[in-house]
Amino acid sequence: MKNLLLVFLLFCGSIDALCQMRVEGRVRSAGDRQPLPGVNVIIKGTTQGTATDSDGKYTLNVREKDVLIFSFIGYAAQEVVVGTEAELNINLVEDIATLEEVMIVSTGYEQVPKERATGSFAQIENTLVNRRVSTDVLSRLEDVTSGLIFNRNVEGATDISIRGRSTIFGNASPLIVIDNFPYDGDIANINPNDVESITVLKDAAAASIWGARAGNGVIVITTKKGVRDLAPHVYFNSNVTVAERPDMFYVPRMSTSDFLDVEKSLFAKGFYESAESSDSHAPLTPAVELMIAHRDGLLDNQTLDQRLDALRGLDVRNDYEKYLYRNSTNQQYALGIQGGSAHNRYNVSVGFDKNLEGLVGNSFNRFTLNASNAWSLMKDKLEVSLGAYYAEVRKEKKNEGLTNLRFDSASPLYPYAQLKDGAGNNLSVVKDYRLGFVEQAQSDGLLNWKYTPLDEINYADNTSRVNDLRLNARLAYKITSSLRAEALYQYWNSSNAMRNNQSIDSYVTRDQINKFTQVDSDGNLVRPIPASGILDANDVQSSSYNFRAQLNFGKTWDDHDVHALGGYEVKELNTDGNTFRYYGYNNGLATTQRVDYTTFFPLYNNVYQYYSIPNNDGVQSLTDRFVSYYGNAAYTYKRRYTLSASGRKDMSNLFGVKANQRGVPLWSVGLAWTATNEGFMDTAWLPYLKLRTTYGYNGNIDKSVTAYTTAVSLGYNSLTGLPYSTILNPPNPELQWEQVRIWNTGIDFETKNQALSGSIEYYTKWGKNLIGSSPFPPSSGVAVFRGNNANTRGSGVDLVLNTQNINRGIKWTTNFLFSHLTEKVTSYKIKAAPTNYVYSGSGSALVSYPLEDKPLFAIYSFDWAGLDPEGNPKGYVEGVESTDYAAIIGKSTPESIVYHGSARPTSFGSVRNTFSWRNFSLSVNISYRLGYYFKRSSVRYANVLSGSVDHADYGARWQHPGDELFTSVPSMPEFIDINRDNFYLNSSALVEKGDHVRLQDVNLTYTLNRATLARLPFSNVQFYLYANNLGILWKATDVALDPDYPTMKPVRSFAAGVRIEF
Amino acid sequence: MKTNPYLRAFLVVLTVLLAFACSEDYLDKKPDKSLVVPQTLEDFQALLDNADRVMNITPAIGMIASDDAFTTDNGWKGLLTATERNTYIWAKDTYNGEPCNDWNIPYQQVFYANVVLEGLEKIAVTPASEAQWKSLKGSALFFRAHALHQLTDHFTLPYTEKDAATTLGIPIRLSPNVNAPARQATLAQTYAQILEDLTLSLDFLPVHSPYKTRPTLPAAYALLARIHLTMAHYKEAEDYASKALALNSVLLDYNTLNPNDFRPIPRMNDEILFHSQQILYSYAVFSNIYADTTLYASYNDKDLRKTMFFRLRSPNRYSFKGSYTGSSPFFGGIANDEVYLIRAESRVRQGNSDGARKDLNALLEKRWVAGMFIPITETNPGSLLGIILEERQKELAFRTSRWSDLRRLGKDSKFAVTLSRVINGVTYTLPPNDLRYAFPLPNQEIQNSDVEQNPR
Repeated sequence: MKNLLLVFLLFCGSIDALCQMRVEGRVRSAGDRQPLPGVNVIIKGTTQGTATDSDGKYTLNVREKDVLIFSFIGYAAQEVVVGTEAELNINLVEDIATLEEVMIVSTGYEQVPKERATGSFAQIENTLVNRRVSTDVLSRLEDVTSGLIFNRNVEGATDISIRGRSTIFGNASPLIVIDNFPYDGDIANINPNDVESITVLKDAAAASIWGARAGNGVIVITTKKGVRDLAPHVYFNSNVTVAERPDMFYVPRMSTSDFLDVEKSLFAKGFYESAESSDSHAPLTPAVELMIAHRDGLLDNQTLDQRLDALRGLDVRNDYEKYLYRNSTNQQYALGIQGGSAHNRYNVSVGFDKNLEGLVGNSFNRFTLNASNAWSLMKDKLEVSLGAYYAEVRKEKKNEGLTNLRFDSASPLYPYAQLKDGAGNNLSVVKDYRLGFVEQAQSDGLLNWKYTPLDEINYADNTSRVNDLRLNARLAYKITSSLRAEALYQYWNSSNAMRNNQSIDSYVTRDQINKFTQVDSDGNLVRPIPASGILDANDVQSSSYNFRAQLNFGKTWDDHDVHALGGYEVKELNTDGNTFRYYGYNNGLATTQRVDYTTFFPLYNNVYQYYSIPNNDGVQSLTDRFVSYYGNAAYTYKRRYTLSASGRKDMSNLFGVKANQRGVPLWSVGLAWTATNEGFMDTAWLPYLKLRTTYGYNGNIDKSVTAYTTAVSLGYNSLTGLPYSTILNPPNPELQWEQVRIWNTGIDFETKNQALSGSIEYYTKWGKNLIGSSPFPPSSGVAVFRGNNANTRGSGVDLVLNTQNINRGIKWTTNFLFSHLTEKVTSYKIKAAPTNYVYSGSGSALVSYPLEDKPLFAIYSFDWAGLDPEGNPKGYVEGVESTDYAAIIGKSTPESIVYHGSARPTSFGSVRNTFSWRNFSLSVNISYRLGYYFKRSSVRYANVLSGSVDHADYGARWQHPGDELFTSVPSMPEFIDINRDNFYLNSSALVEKGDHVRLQDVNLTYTLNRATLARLPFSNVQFYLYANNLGILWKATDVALDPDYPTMKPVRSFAAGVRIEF
Repeated sequence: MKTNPYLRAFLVVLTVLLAFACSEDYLDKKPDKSLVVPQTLEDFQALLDNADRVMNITPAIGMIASDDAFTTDNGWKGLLTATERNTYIWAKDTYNGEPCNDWNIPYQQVFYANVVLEGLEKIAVTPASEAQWKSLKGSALFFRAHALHQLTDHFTLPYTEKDAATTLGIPIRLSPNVNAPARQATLAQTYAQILEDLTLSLDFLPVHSPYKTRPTLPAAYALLARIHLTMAHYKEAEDYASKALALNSVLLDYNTLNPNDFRPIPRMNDEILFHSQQILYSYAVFSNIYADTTLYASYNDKDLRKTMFFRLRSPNRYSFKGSYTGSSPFFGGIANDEVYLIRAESRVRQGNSDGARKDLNALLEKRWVAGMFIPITETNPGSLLGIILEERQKELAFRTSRWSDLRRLGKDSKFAVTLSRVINGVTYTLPPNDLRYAFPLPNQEIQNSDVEQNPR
């Protein structure tokens, strides 16, 4: 090869005029110095040219004085005249109008220039990743990624769906890939400052390379890497975020006064007699104790009223806001250095996050270290890369919030509770037992049995520490110029150690010790649980290895371009956990004491109940194994037509299935046509137009179902001491893997000067053999059966429009995202009772029951006929108005219940306007969610009549004849009537439209760089301000609730930070 | 292209790794160590030993509907589930949409038993494993029969020879295939299946077990005796009771117990043949549920059961503390006291008053203060039967027997009673042989299968 070049050079030297010479060089992005693969390099006035390789390198035969055009979408094209130099390195400048349109997408297996891609990718490049300020990575995708939505109607965990939901009970989370391999740890361990870019893979062609785990879409995160031939480049980022306290008054609650009146009327009816004489010394609220004292003649009428009226003025929610919560403050620091020489590139960064959370006493600290290094050896034939990523997360959880602030374990705390007195002393509240019993017990020698919420925060010592280490190695060897072999290996290890040291001061420990305290025949107290601390611990060790061997082929000749890869992958993930509890724990000496787990003791608080001391020890051992083969090829003709195909077979150690059910083959094909590369198109006003379509299968895995009867061992039975197990799954010999078939069609376009650019995609997804739950006759032995009994169909549009509205002194660009999605269940083998749809069709509960021809998650209700003149809610039985609630519910049919619509937004997106003027840049993101419904909460009289504080609608209830004209809140019934409650709470009266538009966030940045300010000590400095969750601009419903946050309003937060490059 | 030595090494390593990873059993590894596809005798034993969640649980709504206990207006209002409130007043609709464990759990037992029975057929018996195999086979049959019998006692009308062939029975499932449609048998077919299972179990069950939660031969004889009694087959009832007592006739001497203990009757005591506990409802725990006043008054002051079983709650109000579970849940299993009473009743009904008296006195002697018991000398068979039935109510209070007795004695005008209750000023009654002696099947069963609802 070198000899050949030599001949060329000699040849060139001799015949000057016709000199054919060879130039080579590298094209980089001017901003971050990253090499740009896939850049078109064309000799002006000809059709000759090439494209840069994965390292951004190109070689081209030219003549002197030829003009080379370097063009790449997202960057301003550059023309360079060929001189005598044989090396031409080019830095392309990003085009502000299409900032996020970086045209390299990463699938985790390869880097594909978007021009050549047939599939559906959404690329979030570095600037956009950094637009939000947050501790975590994933939230940075929200409202900037087309087709991706965070579902808020699911309580608890973050629930992201990409183009809707493709499973019912399987794993519904998208696969998260970090640096080529799926990440098995907690995504909270990843520092967003280490992220270079994120690619979201949406259709079959994009995601099918991930096979059986791609059914929910794939999020590929690429961390920062070094750059060859770059002088050391130091970057620094720091910011502080302050958030409001949560609004405890957000969900309307019964007033204290109303609650006291309820207690008075229940008392008059004798409701508390049972608790008063209970063996368990059930707790009674202070107001009820006053009423008892009054009944027993210990209080006169006047004193009782005075004392009760004093309680009326109290509201414990003020104390919650004041003493349990604070403004959270999150600090973030990140420092890194990247660079490289001719044979080496490196990146090292450290990050530190220190969050003082909104709950007083709780904190989150994260330290991350990210180091990667790559060497080119053997004249660039061999590349060796090594990377190490370490994260240490320490969480302190001293404050459980409202979770333990319960009265009698099931009810919220009474509304007139006080956490502090006027003098600032922490106060105790009545929680599990009557005050008199607690005080008597203490005078009888038991430990203090009172519960003082604010003291508990001080006594708590509950920490968890995560150490997460990822080691990567990659060997790539260029066998020929077009064939490369690669081997990649990743080892991951994570340990999570939770320690909850509940000292003798803590309520949990005092309560356990007291409960088991025995009085012997001489009246002495005997303590089967020693009067010392209780240590609860949980250790989880996880580790995984991934190995991948892959051959890559890439060749461009004449009008042909072929890229192909094929490989083999194996993965193992092990999780070993153990949970243990030490009684009699002395933290000072680290000593523990033995207890008797076998004897059944009568409880001190209920001597007629016998229990053994709880033994919380347990061991868990999980292993996931995958073996996969995959291949992927793309052929491009004349840079106009691309045909792509991929296939993959995954096998896993599924349990309880036949060997041939362990694997699933999945495939995809795609076509793309770049119309603007055709000779016949006038490309002046439309320089870029591409049509593409793909078709194929992705899969999903649900390891919870098995073909054979599966039992799970539950350890030792407390009744007999014998090992025992419970049946998890009944046999299901017809079990199959879930599959999602996707057809995607899209157009990418860009008008002259990028005034308008973007893409429109239309897709249809068919879910096949989805695992669904069906209610079964209980006489079968199972109440709910899971099997492949659902098919779904979803179709939708993803629209991305980027416009450059003004491009003068002031620059104004708009990024518009719109996604529309309709999903329905096309077949669901087994019909559930209609009540199941009404109660749990929305998907907010664990089990959901889909109805054919309706969305997977939908809002259904009982038809509402208003209140009758006695304030009773009316429904319909077989079309006739009725107050027979058992019949309204029992005789409802899938036809008689009201279907409102989807429980999840069917249209959503955002409008992001960015204004820049001189050094200022202002970005405002407005997001919207449309076309869905939610059920608001209201008063449940079963709770009220059980003496529990409930919804504020109680105050708006029917009380007098005629009220039915103004209110839809039923009267309070005489007795608990579950059916009446269930009918009202699931009636159409409470269904609201969820449509809304919100001002999500604003980012203001001020940038200084040396180009504009020569005396700046840094090459680039950015100051930024960021405000998040700013509020709702419009909503369809009149109810004062945020449709996406029905239980807790999102807190507004404000951040300020600086980003420096040296 | 000449082979580069580095490349060659690379390819060799690659091939080795590939070969290593592809080995056949790589994917046989269990994803979760605690998972098991039940195949071995130990696996099946672990399923049948699932005592406190599945296998040793008995319905309780019959006890709530019977006259062992009563509550006040406030006590009734305070009951935690609509099921209890409705059951207490014999309302037509019992569950108000609540899940019905009284139905679901016995059928879970049937399912577990079927899984074990099917699995056992695939295991080759060796001399070493034969004892365990047989014990499992017998246990599964016993559990299935026990569950089906508890279900008939609650969800079908009482058995009579005359009507059984035309009375609605319950779905019988003999295979673990959950997709098999439920076939609702007649009551005669249901009883035939129960007796067939139990009779077969006799060939397999061991005489002793160290665990009261596991079925044994005497427990199976006792259950056969109990079932024949509900069928009015007194000859068979006597025979099986005799066979049970021949193997185990231990009775607790209440003189050895301490009435001041919070729970004087120890759990898993020697009198128990088969441990099971009733589903724990608030009715078993709440403070204003009291023993029937007539029942309490019927114990002689020298009868130790008066102090072992009851404690004073408020003036003239007594709570039950004598559960054979040794804790709050009421007992739902089988103990020898019941077997003595079955034989006594069967004997007197067949004209053997001497034998009946002997059994009755043997039991009562252990219940009275030592030396104070005056043996029963009644010779009139009719009167003696009355005494025995009264002793059944006193001895087996707060178990499942009272409901069963109310059902079967409804046919006999001498012993039939009309139950009545007053709640919030409304009087509710349950006359003998009322349709409400069969509880309604839960909605989930009706909606998801073709079984017929009980008329109420």
